[in-house]
Amino acid sequence: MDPIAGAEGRFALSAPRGLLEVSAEQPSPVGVRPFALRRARAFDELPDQVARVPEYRYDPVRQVAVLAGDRDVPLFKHTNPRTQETTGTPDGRGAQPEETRPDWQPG
Amino acid sequence: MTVLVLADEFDVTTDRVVELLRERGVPVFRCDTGDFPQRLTLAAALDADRWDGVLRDQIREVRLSEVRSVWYRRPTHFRLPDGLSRTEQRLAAGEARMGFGGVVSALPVLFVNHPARDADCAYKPAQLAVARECGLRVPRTLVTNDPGRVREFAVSVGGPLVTKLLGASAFTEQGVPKVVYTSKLTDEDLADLRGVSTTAHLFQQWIGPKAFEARVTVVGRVLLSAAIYARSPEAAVDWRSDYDSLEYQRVEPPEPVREGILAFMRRFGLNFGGFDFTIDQQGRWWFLECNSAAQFGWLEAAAGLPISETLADLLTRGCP
Repeated sequence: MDPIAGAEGRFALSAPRGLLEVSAEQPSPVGVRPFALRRARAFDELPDQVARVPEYRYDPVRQVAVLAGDRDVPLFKHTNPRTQETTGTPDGRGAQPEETRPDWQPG
Repeated sequence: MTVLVLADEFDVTTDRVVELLRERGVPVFRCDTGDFPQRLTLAAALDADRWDGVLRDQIREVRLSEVRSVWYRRPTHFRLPDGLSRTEQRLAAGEARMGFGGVVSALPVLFVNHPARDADCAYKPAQLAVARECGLRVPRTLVTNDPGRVREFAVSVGGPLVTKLLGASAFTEQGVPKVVYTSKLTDEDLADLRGVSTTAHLFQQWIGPKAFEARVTVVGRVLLSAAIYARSPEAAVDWRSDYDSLEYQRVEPPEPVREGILAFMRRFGLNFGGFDFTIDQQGRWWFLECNSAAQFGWLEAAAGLPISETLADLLTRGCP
């Protein structure tokens, strides 16, 4: 099929550990704010949906992440959002939509 | 021959597949684009008919000509040295993407998935059109920024509508992480569609009542399918909204659906995809969307699907 993604999207990169880019901006007024965001829900309303990124280190020999004591990271009960904050965009520009698709999003 | 894995260093799902490959004695070179250029070195030259050279981290290296397959699983932004101006950062990041990304993308091997194929498949309207061309049943769908057309569409459908985001469903504002799930439109919504004109919106025929939903994970040409039974009102609209209410069971899609899925995979050039379906009370399978980078660790554990093993097989084989 004919390609439709732009050059940057065709080698899309994500935020580390699926973390969301943090914005402090306020929602815009009703009528300007996109209709689709009308039912946006804060994750703190969904406590069972939230996972914390645990303390871990990357084991370069095994090539996997391990917890303290070199314990394997357990598989999460389900995939879920990460709540640790991150700042900035390390590759020097704002994240594109496809680059903010978090790790926990199963859809 | 080595499997090249491009992934974030903290990714449990990737870990599991890497461990499986290691247990099988298959060489793996796992790295993250975030390690480039500070902890990851690339030196590639165009030989007779392909790029060759070495990719090296702090403890191992791989020759590009010895890569048998690439698992491109959401690697992260390039992390550049401190001290660059913003202009230099943008330029350096662009060069990294075009150089590192260009060389990797040009490797003539199996990709799961090739990043350009992932990118094309990210567009829901393209997915819906291709799904229909491939013989899959697709709900009636409207993409518009015209509130009047939404009301006409609702009358035309003659039943409930849902709306969902066309792109990523999570974001932050006021420092608070938020998510938007698929939601049903109420009469009040149809009476007050302010904000529709702000941007493109997707409205879709609601398929219900549902018998169940299904996630079909495709690995190469292998379909691994789970029925998902939602046991709460919220999950009945979007099962991602209430995982604790879900029950899973293995299921086999009907043969025409199976054929449609594989045709969709071929059309987009995918070797991996997570397809979501709603199955109505008549047993008809309705295609909703395909996530070419879908998560699967939670599902293989819940439904007993050998997705990691099948993926390890594919990466080891190096061909679909």
